[in-house]
Amino acid sequence: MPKMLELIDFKVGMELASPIKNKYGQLLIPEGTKLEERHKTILLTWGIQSFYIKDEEENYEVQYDEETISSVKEILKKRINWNFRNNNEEELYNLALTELLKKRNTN
Amino acid sequence: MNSIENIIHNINNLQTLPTIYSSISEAVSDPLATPEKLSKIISMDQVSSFKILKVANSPFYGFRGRIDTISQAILYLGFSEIKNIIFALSIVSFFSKNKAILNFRPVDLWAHSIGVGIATRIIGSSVGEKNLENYFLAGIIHDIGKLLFFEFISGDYEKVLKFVEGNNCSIKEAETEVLGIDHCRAGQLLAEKWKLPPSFNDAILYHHAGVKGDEQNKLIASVHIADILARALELGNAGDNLIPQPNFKVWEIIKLPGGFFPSVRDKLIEDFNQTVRLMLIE
Repeated sequence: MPKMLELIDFKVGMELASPIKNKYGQLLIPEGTKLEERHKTILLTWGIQSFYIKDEEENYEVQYDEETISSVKEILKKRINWNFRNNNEEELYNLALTELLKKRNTN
Repeated sequence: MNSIENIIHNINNLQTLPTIYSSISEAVSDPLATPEKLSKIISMDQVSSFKILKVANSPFYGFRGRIDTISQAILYLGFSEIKNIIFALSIVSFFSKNKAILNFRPVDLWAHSIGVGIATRIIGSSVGEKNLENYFLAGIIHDIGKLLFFEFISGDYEKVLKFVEGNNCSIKEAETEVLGIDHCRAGQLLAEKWKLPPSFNDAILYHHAGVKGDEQNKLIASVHIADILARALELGNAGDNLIPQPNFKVWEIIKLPGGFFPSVRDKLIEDFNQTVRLMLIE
């Protein structure tokens, strides 16, 4: 899963999850590049404030059992009474579901 | 006097925005304005100066801790952005924050609005919008109509909140049903009174619809999605807990890449927590 970072969080060795382009749409650094110090200069030069990297921590996500997921989905039905029509809407639904699951986990 | 008359009467009698905002707006619209002149006006108000520096150094501008003076803030962020920060800070202090109705508190509504402001800016940035200055502020003020209801018709607004609870409907539907006017329209009346730019007026009036006629309006579309995103992440309280379906036309106006929402979640929540602390707590 890509993760948005700011320039201040730049670290050598991070892997770009999406290409960085300037405001004219020209490619500055391609997707998949392992960032080096010189790339920071490119970002500073073009005033790029944020970029996406591959998030290595995603494998540490908490796993939930089917029963918990089903009960949280039931609760969510009262708040989301529609079916998703594209990937963006599916992501919104999943964000809301994850948020509820996390809250249940911490309570 | 019914609710609509009451709201219109109160808006008409509402005072103008704080002096610092008027002075800055005037200075910014002067083609001969210099950063020094602007800096001087802002620096006269020490409380505002202090808060502006804090906001300018907040994570979503990306200059964390590197802006030490108002002149630097103007140089890095530009006139319009500074004007918008002042406006955002002005309206947060303009309305009372201690008029809770049932479990709905103005600070929770502000927290929702801050969440929407940050999300609107992130969405605008992701769709390649060049003039992002208005994005944060449009999100901050999108629900300003609800604050009017808090301020002037709290008794009637309690009925609205009870209607929401009893009918599992949106607060907008409940407002129309109980008051005969919703927060979008009330907010727009205030925007007119304060002579806010048309883009803000539209963001307030059309943020639920997501579109204004056939216009390809990215700002309205961004606020529309940001509102839904803030609700999904439970950032603050919008007055009801529904997560409405986006207007499908909006996806044509702002084409967000696959994986966009999960990828911005952490940054959005981090920026939200810091900005809430800055604007509502410190």
